[in-house]
Amino acid sequence: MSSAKLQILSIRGRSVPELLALAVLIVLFAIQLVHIVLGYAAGDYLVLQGQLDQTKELRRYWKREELIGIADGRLRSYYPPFRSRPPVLDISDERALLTAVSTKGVDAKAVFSDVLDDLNSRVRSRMALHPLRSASSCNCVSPAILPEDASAISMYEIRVAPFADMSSRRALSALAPTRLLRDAVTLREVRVVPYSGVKSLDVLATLVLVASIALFLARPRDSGVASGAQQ
Amino acid sequence: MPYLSTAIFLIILSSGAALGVAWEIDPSKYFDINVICERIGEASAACAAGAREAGIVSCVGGLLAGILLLGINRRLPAQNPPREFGGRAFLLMGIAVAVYIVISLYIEATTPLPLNREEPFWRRPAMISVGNLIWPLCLQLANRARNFKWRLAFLGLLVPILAYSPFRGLLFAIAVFGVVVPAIERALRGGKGEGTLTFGRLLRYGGVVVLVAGIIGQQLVVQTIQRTSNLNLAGKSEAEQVTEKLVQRTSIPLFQAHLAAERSLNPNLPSILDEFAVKLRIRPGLNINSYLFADTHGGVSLGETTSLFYGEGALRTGGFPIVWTVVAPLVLLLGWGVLRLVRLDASTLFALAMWRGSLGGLISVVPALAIQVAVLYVLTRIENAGKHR
Repeated sequence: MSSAKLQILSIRGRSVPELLALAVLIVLFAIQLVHIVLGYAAGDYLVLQGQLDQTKELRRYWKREELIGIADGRLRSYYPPFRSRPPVLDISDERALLTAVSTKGVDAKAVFSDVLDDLNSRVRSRMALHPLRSASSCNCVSPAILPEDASAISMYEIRVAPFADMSSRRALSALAPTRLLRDAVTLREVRVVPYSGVKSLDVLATLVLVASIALFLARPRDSGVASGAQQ
Repeated sequence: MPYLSTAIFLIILSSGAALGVAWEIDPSKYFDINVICERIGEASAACAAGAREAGIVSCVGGLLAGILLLGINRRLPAQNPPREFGGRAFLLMGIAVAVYIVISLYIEATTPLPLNREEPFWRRPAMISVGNLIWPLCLQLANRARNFKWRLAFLGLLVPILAYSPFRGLLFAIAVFGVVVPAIERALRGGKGEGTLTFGRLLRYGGVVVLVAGIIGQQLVVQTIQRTSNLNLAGKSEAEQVTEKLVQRTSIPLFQAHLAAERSLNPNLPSILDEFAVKLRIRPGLNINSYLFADTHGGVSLGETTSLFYGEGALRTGGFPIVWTVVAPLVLLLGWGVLRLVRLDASTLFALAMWRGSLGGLISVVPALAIQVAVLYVLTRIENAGKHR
C-alpha cells in the first residue's frame, strides 16, 4: 500500500468530533449491512391481506376486547426476521384488515390454513367461555375453497361465520337480532402483496452512510479545520 | 452551527420529555392515547412499551445526530465570510409577502369567517403552503442580514405571515430561531466591534432569552387552558386540568410513532411519490401523517399525527428505526455542510427543516426545503450582483 493511501486511512490529523462521527457512521452502516444482507437472503415476503366485513349488530354484540388479538400469537412466526410486531386484525371496524406474512418459498396455502386454524381455535375458545354459546362443533372461520398454490390466493374470498352451528345460532338469537346470523362476518378480497424486507429508504440510508463514511475517511482539509472550528 | 445544534437539542428535549411522561402514565386514562392503543389492538402496558421504545430510539438518535453535527462542522467547514443580505433581497421578499397578503385578504373577504381552527386548512390550503414557504426564508435572511436595520426589516416581514398562519408552532419557531438562538450566538461571539464576551453583554442577551422563554411558556399554558379536550376533566381543578392536557399533549407523539410502526405492513399507505405530489400540490391526497390521523379519527384526515423520524423509519424502511432516526438528520446535515462550502449559509432553513422533520418525517420537509434553498441561492446571486456593481 502506498504512503498516500496509508495517510488516508490514518486517524492522524482528524479531530475527536470527526473520529466520533466516523465511529457512529461505521456502527450504523454495520447494522444496515446486516439488515440488507439478511433481508435479501431471506427473500421477499408474501403479505396476505384481506378486508373483514361485519354487520354493525355484530360489532355491538361482540365486544372488541374479545376479538382483538385473535391474530396475535402464531402469526408472529411468519413475520420477517426483523419484525416482531403482531399482524393487524382489528375487528372493531366494519372493514378491518387482516394481514399475515409468509416467507417466499414457504407454501402460502399452508400458511393461510394455519392462519384460519388459528382464528378458528381462538374464536371457538372465546365462544366456549360464553355461557350461552356452544362452540364445540363450530367451524367458525371456514374458507369456501383453499387455493392450490400461492398465486391463486390473489383476490380470493373466504367466509368467516362465527355462529354457523345451530346451537350457537339459538343461543345468539336470544341476545341479538336474527339478521345478525346471516353473513355475519366475511373476510374477502384476500390478496397477495409482495413485500420486501429491503425498502427504498433502506437503499437511500445505506448510500448516505457510505457517502458520509467516505467523506470522513478522506484526507482532512487542514485549512478547513481551522475555519470550521470558528463556526 | 448554533441553529442546527438547537434543532437537535429540541429533538432530544421533546423526545426525552415525552419519554419521561410516557414512562409514568396509564395510557387508558388519556382519551386520544387510548384511541391509538385500541386501534393498534394492544393492551395499555404493551402500547406504553411500544411508545417508550419510540422515545428511547428518538433520544438516542438525537444524541448520535449531535455527534455527527460536530464531525460535519469540522469536515465541511464554513467558508468565510458567509454571504449577507440587504436591500435587494428585502425588496423581492417584500413583494412576495405583499402579494401573499393581498391574496389572503381577498380570500378572507370572499369566504365566511372561520368557525374553528381547522377551517382555514381547507378554505385556503394553497396560501397556507405559500406562507410556510416564505416564513423560513424571511427568518434565514434576518439571521444573515447585513446589519441590524435589515435584520429588523426581514423580521418585520414575518408579522403578517404570523398573523395569518393557523400554525401555533410558528410563533415558537420564530421566537427560538429568530430571537433566542441569534441572541445566544451574539452573546457568545459578539457583534461587529463588540470584542470578547463580557458580563454586561451576557446579561443583556441573557435577559432577551429569558424574556422569550417566559413568553413561550405563558403561551403554552394559555393555549392549553383554552384548548378543548376529550379528557374526562370533570371535578378537577384548573391546575389539574392543565396537567392532564399537557401530559397527553407531550406524550402522544410517541404513541403516534408506535402506531406508525404497527402499520408498516399496510400496502395502502401513501408512497413517497404520493407524499411529494401532495406536498407540491400536484394532486390532492394524504401524506403518511394525515393517513395515520385518519386512522385514529374515524376516517377524517383534517389533521396530521406527529410520528417522528422513528415512525417514518418504521414505515418506510425494513430495518431498525434507529438507523433512519440518525440518517434522516444526517441527510440535512450533509446538505447544510455542502452549501457552506459555497459560502451559502442556510443553517436556519436546515435547522427548521430538521425540527419540523423530527416531528413529521424527512420526506415531508424535503420539497419545501429544496424550493427554499433554490430561492435563497437566487437571492444570493441577486444580492451579490448588486454588491459588485
